[in-house]
Amino acid sequence: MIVGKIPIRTHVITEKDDIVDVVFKYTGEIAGPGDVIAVAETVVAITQGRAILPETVRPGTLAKFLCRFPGKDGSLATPQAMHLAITETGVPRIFLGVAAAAAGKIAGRKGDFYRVAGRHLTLIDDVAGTMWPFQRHIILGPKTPQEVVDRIKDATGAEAVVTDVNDIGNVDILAASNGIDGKALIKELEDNPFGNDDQQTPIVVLKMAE
Amino acid sequence: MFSQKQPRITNIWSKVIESDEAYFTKVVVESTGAYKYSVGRQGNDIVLIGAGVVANMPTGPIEVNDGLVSDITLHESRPDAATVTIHMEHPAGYRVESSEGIPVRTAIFLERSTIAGLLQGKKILIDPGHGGKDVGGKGPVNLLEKNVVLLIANELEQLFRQVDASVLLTRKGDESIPVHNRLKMAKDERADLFIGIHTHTDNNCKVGGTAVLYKASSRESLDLAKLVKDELIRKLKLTDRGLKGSRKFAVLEGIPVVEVEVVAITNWVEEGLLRSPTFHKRAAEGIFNGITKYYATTDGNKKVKV
Ligand SMILES: [Zn+2]
Repeated sequence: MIVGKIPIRTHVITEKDDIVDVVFKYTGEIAGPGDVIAVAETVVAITQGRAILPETVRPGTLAKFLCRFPGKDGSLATPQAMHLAITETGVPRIFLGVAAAAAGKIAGRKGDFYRVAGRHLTLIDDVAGTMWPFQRHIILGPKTPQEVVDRIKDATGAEAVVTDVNDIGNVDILAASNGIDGKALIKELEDNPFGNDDQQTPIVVLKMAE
Repeated sequence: MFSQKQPRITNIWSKVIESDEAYFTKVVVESTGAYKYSVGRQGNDIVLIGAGVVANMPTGPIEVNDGLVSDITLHESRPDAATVTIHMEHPAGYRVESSEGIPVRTAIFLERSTIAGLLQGKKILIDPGHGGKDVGGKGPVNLLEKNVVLLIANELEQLFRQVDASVLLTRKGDESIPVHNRLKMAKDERADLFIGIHTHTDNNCKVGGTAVLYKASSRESLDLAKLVKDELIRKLKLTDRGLKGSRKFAVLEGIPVVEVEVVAITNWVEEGLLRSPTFHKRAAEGIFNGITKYYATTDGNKKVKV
């Protein structure tokens, strides 16, 4: 049973950091066996060099055209982010996604673009102006999250998950170490203990009853 | 065992709390366990000294810029003592509350009545630019200036309502209103300030950043423009595109006028920023802080003919 959720403030994490070193440094004295260390997917991606300055991206005509469609509220509304999505997924799958979205629209359904073009595209954070010093960056989803949680478990002895949580209570567990059921933690993270993007608390320790 | 270890400070955060009865900044220090502390005043600043507690988080300042608190600095004075200094822009009353649990939370509530006091009796006219068939600037993808400036203006209005200041908007909906009517409204309503909200349009899509226009040859307008721009940049961390005097506001005698160009909508990235509600809110906070700072300076409070 979870007895407390401790948000952990860190320094500003960049691509110069190793995510496992960061987690060990800030939770080594706090999390023990049985506890769960939840790490926000965005910082995992940042340490992997997956925060991209839009100025370095040259969007093609296709990206400039497609960025008008996936929904104004969501990501991929800048041509640069759409270009990166196309690079991540490949042109054919993007087109399948667009076709599905068009069909879905006729059927009054939302979310078909991401269902077909790939869930990992929902992890692309378009420029949002909130997470200094990455307020002008597009942040891709992390690579190999399973490897990351396994390494965190080795280093700390605690369980670990990589998760995507937003303010409106949508929780996605990208990977969980082998000692826990990631799905069971979704409810516990719905209140977004990470806080807003700018609060610099990318790690939350879920303390379990001893 | 966890409970026997020395308590560690894991996080410090703050939030502006606003309700019918209360208006304060809440600063919270979170730790893995309870420790002995004292809270006192050093000048305007509020200082919490904790004994037998160590910093788990980085020491140094955390920027707040909420109009009352500029930053909060954690410092380890001895290996087993930590100091949290809340740097204040204005003096404020405070009270402290602690709550048990994991984490333990020590909360300091700071009265924001000074800010309300600075704006008391002032009438602010906010002018969201353009509207109706005058769409203003256009983003490279699809955003229109007339729509985004209204969203920011609404957030700004909200902030003035919180402190019971008198605040008016030149338009609430998607209406086309001639500029001279907007300026006339400022005169008719005897507004103390005219705050235009716009975005910049540039032929070069690489140009971006924040700029503020002001009524040419008005000291008050220039002072206000400087403060609004500085506070906006503290909030948004965008490029400084400077201050520009403009003759178009000359008809508004006696009223300081600024026109804020929050970002350049023609910049690909900045159009992206304009999609984020958090960004609208931050922009509004920056403008609001600039205006309260203006009234906190003697110049802003003197009733000088402009
Ligand atoms: Zn304009």
